[in-house]
Amino acid sequence: MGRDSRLSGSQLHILLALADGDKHGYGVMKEVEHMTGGEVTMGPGTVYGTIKRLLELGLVVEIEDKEGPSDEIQRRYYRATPDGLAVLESETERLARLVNTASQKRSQSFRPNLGET
Amino acid sequence: MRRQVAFYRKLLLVYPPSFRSDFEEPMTRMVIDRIDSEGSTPLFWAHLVGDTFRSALHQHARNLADSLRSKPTPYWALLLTVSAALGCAVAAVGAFNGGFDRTAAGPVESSVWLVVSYAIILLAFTASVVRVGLKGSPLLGVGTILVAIGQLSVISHETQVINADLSMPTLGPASAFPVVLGAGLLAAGMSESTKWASSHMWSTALVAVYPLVLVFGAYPFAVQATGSEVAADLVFKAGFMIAWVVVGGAFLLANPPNPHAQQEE
Repeated sequence: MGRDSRLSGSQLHILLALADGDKHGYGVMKEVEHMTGGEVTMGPGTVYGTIKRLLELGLVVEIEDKEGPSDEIQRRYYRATPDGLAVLESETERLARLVNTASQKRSQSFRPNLGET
Repeated sequence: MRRQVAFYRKLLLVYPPSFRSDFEEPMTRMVIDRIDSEGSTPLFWAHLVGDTFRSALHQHARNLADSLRSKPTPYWALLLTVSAALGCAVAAVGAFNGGFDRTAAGPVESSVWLVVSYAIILLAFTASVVRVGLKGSPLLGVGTILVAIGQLSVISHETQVINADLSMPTLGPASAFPVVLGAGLLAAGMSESTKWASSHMWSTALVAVYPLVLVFGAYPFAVQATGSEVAADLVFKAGFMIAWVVVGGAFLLANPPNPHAQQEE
């Protein structure tokens, strides 16, 4: 994926969740919930379907289980790669510009109404 | 907890096998973590089931797209899909357009049934066949059973036409054939993990036999269309042979049998 390529909503959320450190699936889910104020909740299918795609694109990598061997089902931790962080930065800059443009247009569209009243 | 985990693992069967083998464990771990820390409520399970089916559909679609982009899968898969779709269309017409009772009008226009059946079964077959490379899958088996039911109706119709008895369905011995074949394919699909179902020779045999069912089902319609049983017989025997050679041959060319390789993947 080129650095200018756009991310889907779930890809962006998961890369953002991994931007400040390695996380396993449930950790990613909780971080996304926290970041969005509970507006976005991801189930395991969405989380791992997206992680699969991010792995294929080389934007995240799987790392060794931090908790070591256990009899239980192991957690898998994921880390954003340098490419992943670069794409995330590019995408957030693009979104920031978009929000900025939207704010300007909104203020311009309100102005005539304010003038009439 | 153990029952919930077992249920979730069964739920994961809706995913493509490759996705399941890669992510079944971490996804199950995620559900366990969620239940451990936040408990288990009906709402949680409703969301979980919805998330599972939605993302499984997405994964199947992605696998299908990936498979269609790769070689040599598209050639034989497309051929098989077309022949399956034709068979399904014929079966759908037979089943819903007075197949069992030609004197009664169906509640829904046959063309509607035709399009809906065509689309659904075409998608199921395409996704299943392309994904598993005819090693067998539950989807393939269920799809084949659907076709077999339609074929049963068509054969009943054929028997009526031949016997000139339109008052009630007469199921001849031939009707056992699609049922047995459908059951066989279903069994093959369900035992996907077994060696015999995933071997090239069995898969090839299934592909080679399948057109027989499709063309056999179309025969009575040809009789009606041509007004001649002899002409229809010639057309569809030739059609059957061509379909058999093309579909089976294409599959063989794309996946040459290798007695030393029990697993295709």
